[in-house]
Amino acid sequence: MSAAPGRGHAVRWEAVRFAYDGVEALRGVSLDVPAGTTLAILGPNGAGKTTLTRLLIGLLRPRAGRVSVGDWDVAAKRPDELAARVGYVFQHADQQLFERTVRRDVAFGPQRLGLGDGGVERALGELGLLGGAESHPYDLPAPARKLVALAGVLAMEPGVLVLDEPTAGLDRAGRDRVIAALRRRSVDGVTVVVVSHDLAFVAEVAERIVVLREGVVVADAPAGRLLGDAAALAPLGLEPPPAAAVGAALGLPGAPIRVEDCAAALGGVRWRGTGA
Amino acid sequence: MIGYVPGASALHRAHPYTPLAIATGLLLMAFAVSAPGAVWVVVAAAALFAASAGVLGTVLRPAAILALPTWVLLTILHGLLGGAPHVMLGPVAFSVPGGERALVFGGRLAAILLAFLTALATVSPARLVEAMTARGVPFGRVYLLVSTLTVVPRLRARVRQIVDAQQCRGLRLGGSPLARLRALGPLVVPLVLSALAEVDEQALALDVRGGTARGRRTALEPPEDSRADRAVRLAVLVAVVAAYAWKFLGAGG
Repeated sequence: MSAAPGRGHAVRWEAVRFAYDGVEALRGVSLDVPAGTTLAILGPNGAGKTTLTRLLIGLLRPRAGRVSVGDWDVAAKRPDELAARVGYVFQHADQQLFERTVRRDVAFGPQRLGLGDGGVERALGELGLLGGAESHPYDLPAPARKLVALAGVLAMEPGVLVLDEPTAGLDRAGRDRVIAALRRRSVDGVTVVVVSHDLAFVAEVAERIVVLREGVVVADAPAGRLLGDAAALAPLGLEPPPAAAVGAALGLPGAPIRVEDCAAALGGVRWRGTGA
Repeated sequence: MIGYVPGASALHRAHPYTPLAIATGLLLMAFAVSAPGAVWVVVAAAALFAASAGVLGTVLRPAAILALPTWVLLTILHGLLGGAPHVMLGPVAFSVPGGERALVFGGRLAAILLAFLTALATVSPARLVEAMTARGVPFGRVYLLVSTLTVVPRLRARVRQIVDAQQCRGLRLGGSPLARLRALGPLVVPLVLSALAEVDEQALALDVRGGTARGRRTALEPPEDSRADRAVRLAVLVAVVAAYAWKFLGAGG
C-alpha cells in the first residue's frame, strides 16, 4: 500500500499475449496509459477487452509480456494486494454484495485496506445511496445494487479504477451519477479504464479511446477526434454517439461529442445534466 | 463437479437416452455381481465407457475426489472390524473378508461415479430437453432434471465470479484457518442470496413463457433415435436381466 488513496498510477501493458484453452484472446497488446488519464476500451464481443482489464488486477496472468501498475509488476502481486491500487467494478458486480446493510457492504473494501470512513460516505453520497444506506442490499432493485457495488469500489479510493460495462442496466439518473463520479475521479488524478459498448457514456467520460478487435489494437486516438469522425468509426463497426451525430449534422463548431458541449454550441439551450 | 463437455464421439452423437441407459446398466451390473474381481471388471467397463467418449481424463479426477475418502473409510472399518481369517499388517490384524467387502463396495462406488460422470459429460442438456419433450415428458419434470444436471457447473461459475470480485475488494483467501473461516462469509452469503434471487426471477420467467401451461409441447429439433441407439439400449437391458437372472439362480460370483 505504497500509494496515497486517490493518487493515480500509470498503467502499462507490454507485448501482452493471453490465450484461453489455446485460443488467443490477446495477441501482443502494448498500451501505455499515463496516470490520471480516462481510457475507454471498445470493441466487439470477444475482442479481448475484459481479458485485458482482468490482467490488470491479477485475476489472469499473461502468457507473455508484462503488465504494470505504477512501479508494481502485476505478476508479483495477488489480487487482494493489487486492490490497494486497482479498484475493479465487474459487469455483474451486484452479485458480490453480502453485508446486512448497504453502508456496511460499501465499507467492506475500505476496512480490508485499513482506510477510514470518509470514502464510504463520499461514495454513498455521489451515487445517491445515502437514503437507503441502512437497507439490506437485496431489498434494492438490481440497478441500485449495481450502484452499491460501484460505491464499494469507489470508497476504496483506488489510484486506478477499472469498470466493465458500468452503465449496463442503469436508468438515466444512475448513469448521470456514474458519469459525475468518474469525472470527479479524473479531476482528482485517478487513472480510469472503462470497458463499454455505450458510446454516449464513453463520450461523456473518456479522454482516450482504444479499439480492440480479435486481440489486437486497431485504433488508439483521443476521444474527441475518434468519436467525432464517422468515417473513421465506420470501418471499426462503430457509430458516433448521438451528440456527435447531431453536432456533425448541424455543422456545429468544435465537433462536440458530449451532450452539454453540443447544447452549448447550439447556444441558448440550457443544459441540465451531469456536472463534474 | 463437471458438466457437459462438447465432443464428437459416438456417445456425444448418440440419442441422449443411450449414454444414460449405459450408465444405468453399469450401475445395475455393479450390484448384480458380488465377487471383488467381477465388480472391478464393471469398473473397467465404466472406464472404457468414459474413454470411448474421450472424457476419461475429465471424469477421473472428480471421481477420485469423491471416492477416495469413502474408500479409505471402508478399508479401515471393514479391515479392522471384519471377521477371520486375518493377515498381520505390522501390528494390525487386517480382516481378509472385510478387505474383500471393502473392495466390492469401493468398486461399486467407482463404477457408479465413472458411469454417471461420463453420462453428465456426454449428454448435452439441450438435446436431453429435446429428447424428453419429443417423448411427451411434462415440462416440469424436464426442467427439474436439467436444472439438477446443470446446477453444479453454474454454481461453480458463480463462485468464481464472487471469489474474483471479493479478492478485488481486498479479501485474502489464504492465511490461518481462522482467516479462511472469516473469508467464507463474503463468499457464501452472496452465492446463496444471488442464487435465491435468480430462482425467483427464473420462476417468473418460466410462468410468463408458458412453462406451466398444460398440453403437449413441441420439440423443435428432436435428436435422432437410430436403430443403433435402440440396439445398444436393448443390449444393455438384456445384459442386466441376464446378470440378475444369473445372480438369483445362485450361479453368480
